[in-house]
Amino acid sequence: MKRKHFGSILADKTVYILLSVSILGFILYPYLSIFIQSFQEQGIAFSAFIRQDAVLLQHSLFIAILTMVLTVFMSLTLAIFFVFLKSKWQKPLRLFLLVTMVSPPFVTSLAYITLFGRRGMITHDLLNLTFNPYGAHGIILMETLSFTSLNALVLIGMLHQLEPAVINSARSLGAKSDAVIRDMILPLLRPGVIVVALISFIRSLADFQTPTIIGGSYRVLASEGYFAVISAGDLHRAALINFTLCIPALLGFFLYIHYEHTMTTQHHGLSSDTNALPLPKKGWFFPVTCCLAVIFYGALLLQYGSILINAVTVKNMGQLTFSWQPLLDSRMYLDGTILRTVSYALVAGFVGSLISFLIIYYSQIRQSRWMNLIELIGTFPYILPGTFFGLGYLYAFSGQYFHLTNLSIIVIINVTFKQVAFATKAAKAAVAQVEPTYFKTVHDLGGTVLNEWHDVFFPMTRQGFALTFLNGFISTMTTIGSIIFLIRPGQKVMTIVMFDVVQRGEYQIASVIACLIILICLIMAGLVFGILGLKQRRWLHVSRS
Amino acid sequence: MFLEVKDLTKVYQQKNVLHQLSFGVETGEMLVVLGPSGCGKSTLLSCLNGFTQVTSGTVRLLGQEITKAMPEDRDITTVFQSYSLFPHMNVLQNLMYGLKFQKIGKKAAKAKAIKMLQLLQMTEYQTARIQDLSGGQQQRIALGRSLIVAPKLLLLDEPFSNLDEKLRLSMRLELRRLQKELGITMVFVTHDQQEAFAIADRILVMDAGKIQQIATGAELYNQPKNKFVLTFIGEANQLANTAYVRPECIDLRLDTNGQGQIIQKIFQGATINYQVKLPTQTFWITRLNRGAAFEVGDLVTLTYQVQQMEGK
Ligand SMILES: Nc1ncnc2c1ncn2[C@@H]1O[C@H](COP(=O)(O)OP(=O)(O)OP(=O)(O)O)[C@@H](O)[C@H]1O
Ligand SMILES: [Mg+2]
Repeated sequence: MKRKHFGSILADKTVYILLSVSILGFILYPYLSIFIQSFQEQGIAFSAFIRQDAVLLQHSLFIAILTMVLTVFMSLTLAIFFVFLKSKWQKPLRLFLLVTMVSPPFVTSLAYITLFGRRGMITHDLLNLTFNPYGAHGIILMETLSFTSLNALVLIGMLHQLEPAVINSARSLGAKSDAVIRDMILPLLRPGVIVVALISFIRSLADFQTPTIIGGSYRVLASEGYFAVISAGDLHRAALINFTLCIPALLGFFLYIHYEHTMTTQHHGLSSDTNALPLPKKGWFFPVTCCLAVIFYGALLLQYGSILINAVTVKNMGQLTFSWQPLLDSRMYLDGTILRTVSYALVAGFVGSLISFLIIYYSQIRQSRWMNLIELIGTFPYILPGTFFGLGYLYAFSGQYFHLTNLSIIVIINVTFKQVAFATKAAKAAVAQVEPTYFKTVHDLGGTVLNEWHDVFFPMTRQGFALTFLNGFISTMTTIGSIIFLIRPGQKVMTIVMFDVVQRGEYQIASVIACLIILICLIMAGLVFGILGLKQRRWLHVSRS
Repeated sequence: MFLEVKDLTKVYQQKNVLHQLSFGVETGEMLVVLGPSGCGKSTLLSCLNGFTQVTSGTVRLLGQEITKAMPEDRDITTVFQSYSLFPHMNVLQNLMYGLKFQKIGKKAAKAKAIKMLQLLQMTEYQTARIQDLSGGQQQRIALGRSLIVAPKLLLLDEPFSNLDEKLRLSMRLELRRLQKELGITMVFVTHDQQEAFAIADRILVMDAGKIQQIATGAELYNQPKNKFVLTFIGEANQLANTAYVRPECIDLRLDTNGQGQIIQKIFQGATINYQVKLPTQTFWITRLNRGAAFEVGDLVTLTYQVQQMEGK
C-alpha cells in the first residue's frame, strides 16, 4: 500500500517539476535573454533606431491598419452571407475555408505571382498586360485574402453560438432580414469583430513572408527584421525591430483578452433546442454579401487552382500540358525534408499536447496557482510575433553557455513549445467537459494520481487531445516564423524550402511543395477524424447510459 | 372564427409529427394546448408562427390564409420558452423593439413602453440591463415585448416552465389579468395540467400528434372522451370497457362484513388516499382529511356511481 503511493507521489512531483522547468527554460528564458542581451550589447540604441527607421514603422502600421479594415469587412461579409444559407450549403463552404488553415501562409502570395506576376498566367499570357503586382497594394490584398478565412470561421462559429430564439423573437416582432442583421446579428457579433480585427492587425504586423515575396521595394518592419538576420547577420537590429512589433501586439493582446471574455460570457438566458432558420433572401444585405462572397470564393478557387495547375503542368510552346516534371524536379530540393518535417510535426503535436494537458491538469483540476502562472507564460508565443520567439532562441541557446542552435533538437523544442499557447486553451475546453467528481471518485476508491491520469483524465479528454494534436501537427507543418533563423542548411523543413524557392523564382517547385503540405495535413486530419469516428461509436452507448 | 386551422400535418423526415389537426380559436379566447413531452406542441406553435413549413393543411387568421407567410409578415408574436430577450439592449429598448416596424413615432413608442412597464409592475426597471433581471422579471419583459405590438394572436411556448412554483402561480394570474385587460387572443402551450386548468378558456389535449379532445377544463375532467384523456387528466379507477370512477367519487364506510380491505394509506395533507382491495380488483379512493381516518387492515364497503366515457 505504502510503496504504491510512494511511486505515484514521485511521478507526480517529477512531472510537476519537469513541466515548470521546461516552460521556464524554453519559453520564459528565451524572451528574457533577447530582452536583456539586446539592450546590453553594442549597437544602435532603441530611440535612435526608432527615429532612423520611422518610415518602416509607418509602412507597417499603414499595411496593418488597411489589412485590418479590409479583413474585418470581408470576414463580416462572409459571416452575414452565411445567415441566409441553409446548413446543407454552409457545410461545404465552411470546409473550403478550412482548407486555407492547412496551407502555408504565403501560398496566397505564391498564387498571386504566378497569376499576376511579370510572367503571370493571367496578366501576361491571357491579357498581355504589364502590371506591376509588387508593392503595398499587393501586400494588403494578399494578407486580406489569406487572413479572411480564419476570421470568417471565427465569426461564423460565433453566429452558431447565438441563441436562435433571439433571432426568432425579433422576426416574430416583425423584423425583416435587413433589420435582423442590423439590430441583432451585427451588435451581437461586435466582440467577435473586435477580436478578429485585433488578430488581423497583429498578424499583419508580424507577417514577413508576404512583404518579402511581393513587397518589392516597399519595406516594412517585419521583412526588414528578416533581412537583417538572413542577409546582414545583424541580430541586434532584428531584436530592435521585433521589440517595436511587440508593443502594439501586447496592447492588442490585452484588448483581446478583454473582448474574448465578453465574447464567451455574452451568451445569455436559457438555450432552446430550436434552430434558427436561414433568413429570407430579401433586402439589401443578401445581394451585396452574396456578390462579395462569390468574388471571395472565386479568388480562393483561383488561388488553389493555380497552385495545383502549376504543380502538375509544364508550358510547351505556350500550351500548358500535364506533366510530372515539376514533381520530379522538386525531388532534389526535398531530399529527406518531407520525412523530417512530418516527424517534427508528429513530435511537436504529440509532446506539445501532452505538456499542455498536464499543465491544465495541475492548473484546473488540482488548482495549482503556480501552474496558472506557468500556463500564462506558455501563452507568450501566441501573443508575440513568431520571429521574436525564434530570435529569442538564437540569443538564448547560442551564447557562451549553449551551442544548441546547431542541433535539430532545438528546432523540435521550439515548435513543440510554440504549441503550448494554443494547446492549453484547447485542453482547458476539453477538461471543462469532465465532471470533477470523477477525480474525487478515483481517490475515494483508493486510486492515486497515476490512476487519475490513466483512468479518468486522459481517457475522458481523448477527443480533445486528438484535436489538439491535429492542430499542433498542422501548425507545425505550416509554420515558418519562429524557426526560420534556427534552421541550418541540411535540416530544412518544407515551409522553409518552399519560402526559399519562392524567393528564387522557382514557382513550380514551390507549388509542388505547397500541394504536398496541404495533402499531408489533409491526410492527417482524415486519419484523426477517422479514428475518432470509430472510437466514438464504441463510446456512444457508455456515455449515454 | 378568429384562427382556423384545418387538416394541419407536419412530417419531419418520414416522421409524422402532426396528424391532420383541425381546430379553431375564438376572438379573445385563451386556448391551452396540453400534452405530454414530445407530442408535437412546439411544432404546432411553429406552424402557426411560421418558423416551420407545414407539410399540408391550412392556417387562417381572420379569414385570411397565412399558411405560407413569412414569420415577420404575420400578425402573430411568440414568447419562447427561453426568454430570448435581446442581450445588447436594456429593458425599455427590448420593449420598444417591435414598435420599430409599426408606423409609430419614437416618443409614442416610448410612452407605450412605459405604460407596458406599469402594466407589468416593473416601472423602476426602465434602464436596467437584461442581465440584471431575475428569471421572473425577464419572463415578464419577454411577455411585455410581445404584448406591446398588440398582435392579433399571441403564442406562448411553456413560458413559465423555468420559474419556481410560487412565481409560476403568480405569473399565471398576471397573464390571465393582462389577457382580459388587453383582450388578446392567445394560444398557450404547457404540459402541466394545473396550469392549463388555471388559465384556459378551453383546453386542447394532444397526444402523438393527434387532437384527443378540445373542451373546457371541467368538461375534460367530467366527460373525458377517451382513455388517454381520462388517464392523462386526473386519476381514475378503470372498470370494464368504457366505465370508470374517479377516486373522489367513491364513498367509504367502515363495515366488518365489508368486501373491501384497506391495504395502503397515503397521507397527502388536505386529503388521504386509500388503496382498497376487493375480490375482483383494487381501487384508489381519495377522502378529505376530516373526521376519523381509516387504518390499514380495516374492512370497508364502497359505494359509487359508474361513469362512462365516449370511446376507448
Ligand atoms: N427539426 C426536427 N426534425 C426532426 N424531428 C423533429 C424536429 N423538431 C421536432 N421533432 C420531433 O417532433 C416531435 C415533437 O416535437 P415537439 O418539440 O413539437 O414536442 P413538444 O410537445 O413541444 O415536446 P416538449 O414538451 O418536450 O417541448 C418530437 O418527437 C421531436 O423529436
Ligand atoms: Mg416544446
